[in-house]
Amino acid sequence: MALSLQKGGNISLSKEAPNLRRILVGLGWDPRSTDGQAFDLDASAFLLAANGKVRGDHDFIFYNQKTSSDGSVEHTGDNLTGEGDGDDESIKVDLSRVPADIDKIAVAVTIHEAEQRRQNFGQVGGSFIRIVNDETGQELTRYDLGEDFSTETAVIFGEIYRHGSEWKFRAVGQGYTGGLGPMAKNYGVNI
Amino acid sequence: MQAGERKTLADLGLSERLEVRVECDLHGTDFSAFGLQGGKLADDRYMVFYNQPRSPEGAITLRPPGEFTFELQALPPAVDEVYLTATHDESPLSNAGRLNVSFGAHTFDVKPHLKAEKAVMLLRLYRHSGGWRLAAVAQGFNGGLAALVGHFGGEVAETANEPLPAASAPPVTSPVNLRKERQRVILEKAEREQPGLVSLIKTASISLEKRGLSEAQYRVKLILDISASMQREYQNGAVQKLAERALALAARLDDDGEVEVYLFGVKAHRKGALSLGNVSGFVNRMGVELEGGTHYNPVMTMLREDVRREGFDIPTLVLFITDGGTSNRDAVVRQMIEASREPIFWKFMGIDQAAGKGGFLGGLMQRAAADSFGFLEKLDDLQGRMVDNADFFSVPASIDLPDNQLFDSLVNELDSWQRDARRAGILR
Repeated sequence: MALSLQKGGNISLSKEAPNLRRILVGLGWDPRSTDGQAFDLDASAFLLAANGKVRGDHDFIFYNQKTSSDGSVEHTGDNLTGEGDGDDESIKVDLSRVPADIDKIAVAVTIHEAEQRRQNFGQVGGSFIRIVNDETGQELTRYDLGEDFSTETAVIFGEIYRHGSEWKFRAVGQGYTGGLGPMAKNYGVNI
Repeated sequence: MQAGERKTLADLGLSERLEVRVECDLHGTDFSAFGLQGGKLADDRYMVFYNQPRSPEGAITLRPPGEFTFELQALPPAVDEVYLTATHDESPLSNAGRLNVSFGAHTFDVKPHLKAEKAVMLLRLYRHSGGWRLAAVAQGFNGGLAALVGHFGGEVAETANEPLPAASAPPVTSPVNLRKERQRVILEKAEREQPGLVSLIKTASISLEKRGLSEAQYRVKLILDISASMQREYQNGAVQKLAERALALAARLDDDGEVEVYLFGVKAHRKGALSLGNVSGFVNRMGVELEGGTHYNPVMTMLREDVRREGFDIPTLVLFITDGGTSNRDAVVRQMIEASREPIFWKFMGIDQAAGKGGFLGGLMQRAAADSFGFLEKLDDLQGRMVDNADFFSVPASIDLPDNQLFDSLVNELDSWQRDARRAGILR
């Protein structure tokens, strides 16, 4: 049974699964069951150096740039509706190939065209992020984001970060009201 | 507030007793509150809407059209969220020029979020960390109220007009009746033909709602005394006013919104049906010839015959208006005992001709009235009946008591009779 984290909690992935090499970051949310404007949520990942910024735009992995230049991080594709069980979108990370100057990988979910569609995370339920050992399929940890969001249109679900020789995961759950653009900018991406 | 925003009640400057007002300029929009358990309407009594304006403990009440009062602290712990909704039977709510929700110092403008939805969730009140929070929602269904009830897992009574929701519904105790077509058609007809009656109909419906009779269906029959002492009431329009109020009650209760009228003095007379189309001047057109006696028995026999012929499938409410005691009291007592096995509720309204009159004559009249009304009270409490099928109240001769009091009196005990009659198998 994977350990569920609360907001702010962290766990050592390396201790949960010794010799862990490849992980799958699964992200989910409830599609709206109502009619009206559909929700399109997008996952993205930021490869961040020790200063908390991307080294360059190539470290921003999203629906238009699905793989990092070194191939360590791969976005498996855009799900436009959030329908179906399980993960709605996922990001694969080969920890063994993450460049040494990358300190942490922040995983975010944003609402596409949130402003035009008048949508925000207050309207999205059942959000989660889970970390799976991609070689064994074993779920290592999971964080259910709960009902804490309001008018945010972008949320950092969690981050995978180096701690000495280990890889750890932190349940972040930090929301921003500006959407993907300002969030990317905040991480040093040129938008 | 904006859609998606969530706040604690304290942050909004609100307490757990809060009033929410929904305003919408689209005619025919209905507002409802759903108390949910784990996202589902586990108990239909927590759907507060036009046919059921109050939750069992009164924690959620609706004052139509759109004023809600919540006493959240009084809700059972199992109810963990409440959705406030707006629905329309025909039009998308985006046809409204204005749809907004106000509470405390806040307003939530829902209109910009609407597309083709005929049912929209406006607000969500939910338990969180030991308190209540409020979320502005503005999401809904193109399928209207039925789709919404389906979404909440409720069961919608099957009617010709409303498709059953596609969503699978868990078993619930009794289906929610969304059918108010009959009443709406009558109300719209009243708006066109007798606008003066519209507020009376609304007042009547409030008296019914207070007794939990919003959904009740009755044939309404009016029996009028034409003994000589009633002359003044016929001349000064008091009887016409009574007829209009009986019709207003029938607009909410009767399947065809009509009232069958009977007269009695010495004899009994059928006078046809009072309806929205003929109510103006109805009493004058009856051409009443007053009679020198008061005999309840023949008209009771006539009415019971008519009810038997029309069938016992729908109960009958009899409004029996008299200003005096009857001859042949034993026969009337027997009638009442026999009639207690029939789905008929007898409401006796005594017009007290002696009220307020002084002097020697007044004293004589008061003694006579005390005797007559004593008999009617006796009917009310008569032993040997299967159920208590009668209620009596008296009004002073001018009959100018406020409409809400009159309607309250006219439907008093109707709910308890309905319950007892159902239990006794008299009423299905």
